[in-house]
Amino acid sequence: MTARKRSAIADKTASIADMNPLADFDSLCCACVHDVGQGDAISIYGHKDSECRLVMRFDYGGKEGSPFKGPDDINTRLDIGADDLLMLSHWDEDHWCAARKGTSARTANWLVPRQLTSPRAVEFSTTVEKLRTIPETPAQRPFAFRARNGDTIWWEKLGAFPGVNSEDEDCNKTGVVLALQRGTGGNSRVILLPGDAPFHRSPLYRDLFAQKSKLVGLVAFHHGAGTHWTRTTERMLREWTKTMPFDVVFSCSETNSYGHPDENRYRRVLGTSVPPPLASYYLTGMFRPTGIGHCIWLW
Amino acid sequence: MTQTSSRSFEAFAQPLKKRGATWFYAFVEDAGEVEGEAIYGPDDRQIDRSQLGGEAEQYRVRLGAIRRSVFRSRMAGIRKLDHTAITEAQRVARLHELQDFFRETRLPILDLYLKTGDLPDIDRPRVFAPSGWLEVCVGSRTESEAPLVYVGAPEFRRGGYYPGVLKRLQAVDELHWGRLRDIFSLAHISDRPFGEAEGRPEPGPDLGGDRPGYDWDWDDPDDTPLDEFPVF
Repeated sequence: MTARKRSAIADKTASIADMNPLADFDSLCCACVHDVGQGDAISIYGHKDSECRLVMRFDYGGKEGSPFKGPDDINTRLDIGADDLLMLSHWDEDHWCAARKGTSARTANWLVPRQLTSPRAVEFSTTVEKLRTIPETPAQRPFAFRARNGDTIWWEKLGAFPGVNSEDEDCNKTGVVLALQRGTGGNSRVILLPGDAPFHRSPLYRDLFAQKSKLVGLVAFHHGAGTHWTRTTERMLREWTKTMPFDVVFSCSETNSYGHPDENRYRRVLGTSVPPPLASYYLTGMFRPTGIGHCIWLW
Repeated sequence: MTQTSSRSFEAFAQPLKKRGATWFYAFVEDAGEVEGEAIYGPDDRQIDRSQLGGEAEQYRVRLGAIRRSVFRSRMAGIRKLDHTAITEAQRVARLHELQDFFRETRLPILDLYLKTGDLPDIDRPRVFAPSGWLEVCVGSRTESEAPLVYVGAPEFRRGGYYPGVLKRLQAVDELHWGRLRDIFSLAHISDRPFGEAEGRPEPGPDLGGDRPGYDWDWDDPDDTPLDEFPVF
């Protein structure tokens, strides 16, 4: 690489603009959970000038069973501009690898957790022009991007980076979770985007739960895995979903090596509401065979 | 930008075939039982389960790897950092060093498959804990009935992808463990400064004493797992 190219990357790395990607938006519009096979890639849209426009993306993955037919296909399906914000939940490859295969995401503004990670992730990170880590001080403290009407994208980093010489780290517990909130307090409606983190691990989610916000949708944590569940996970989810219909999205390919999703667990936990059952279940790739859609819309 | 050409993969693959064994330093990305109907290899392509012994129970360890000889010969090109006090100038210098390092360095994924009874003397959750480093020696498949190791990556040339076998698995010595941790870190990335300009994220929601009286201990480490807690 030439010195000129190097300094260009360094300059851009050092000059990410201050962000509130919702600042110029009137309100939140919806979330789109893309069919990327095994992995997460979520777009968040807001209303601006009477149109529904991209606010930011959360993760840019897609591994086993992805529908992508090459870099151009990725750039088209997961279109992202050089000024757009792309937050990463954590550094597992199925949450960022479409950015390696495509090209446009490398030019976006990345905000990522500092974690122990693989050589491949480190290599990829050196090819992204505008990449910043979340400072450790706000860990365990939620932050907000707020639209003009008060609609909010909440996010928090769940745990502190343990240090480069720590023996191990569970990146699912030191990553980032998001929540979308329309309205405020008990009258608000929320969508949970937890990445791979169990729902109850997030203080932000606990606070939204305690506010009695109405849960209208969620992406099942860790692609619907049946692991990492505790009694608290179950109780929280069951309590939170008693009152109104809501959508559950599993972000995985129809066939995968992990046995995702454990839909029966969700049906057992959530299907006991006073009739009728309030949950609707979607797999991100369920519409792929029809050719009529490549994502699940929430809200 | 690092690109992996088909030619470079041939160069990478050759030692596995001709010399019989290749050593890797390998980062544990995840480990656990293979539960799905389909199994995908490191190149994201589906593989025939019969290669793994049909329906036999399988435990997969996914590793992000680098050839040991390559790492040892090139690690001196990356200056050590004190990760408790990194300056911006050091981050930029590290970025440049890494870009040079990766330009000629291939990074395969290793998928190690263990059947019940394989490696009976090791504590799998401890040895294959996420984000740990191991030394793995992969040999030609013809040599033994040892556990299979698939070596590849989505960006490698198709058709040049095949399974080897595990010849040896061992801990990384202290010197190289420290250098692996240092080099394969995100030390070249600066924190985004919060609180220095308008438009910064706002703190909240602050509920004060308004939490409902759920008798739950959210952070109770002894909260009963509903399943055996997984490795990944």
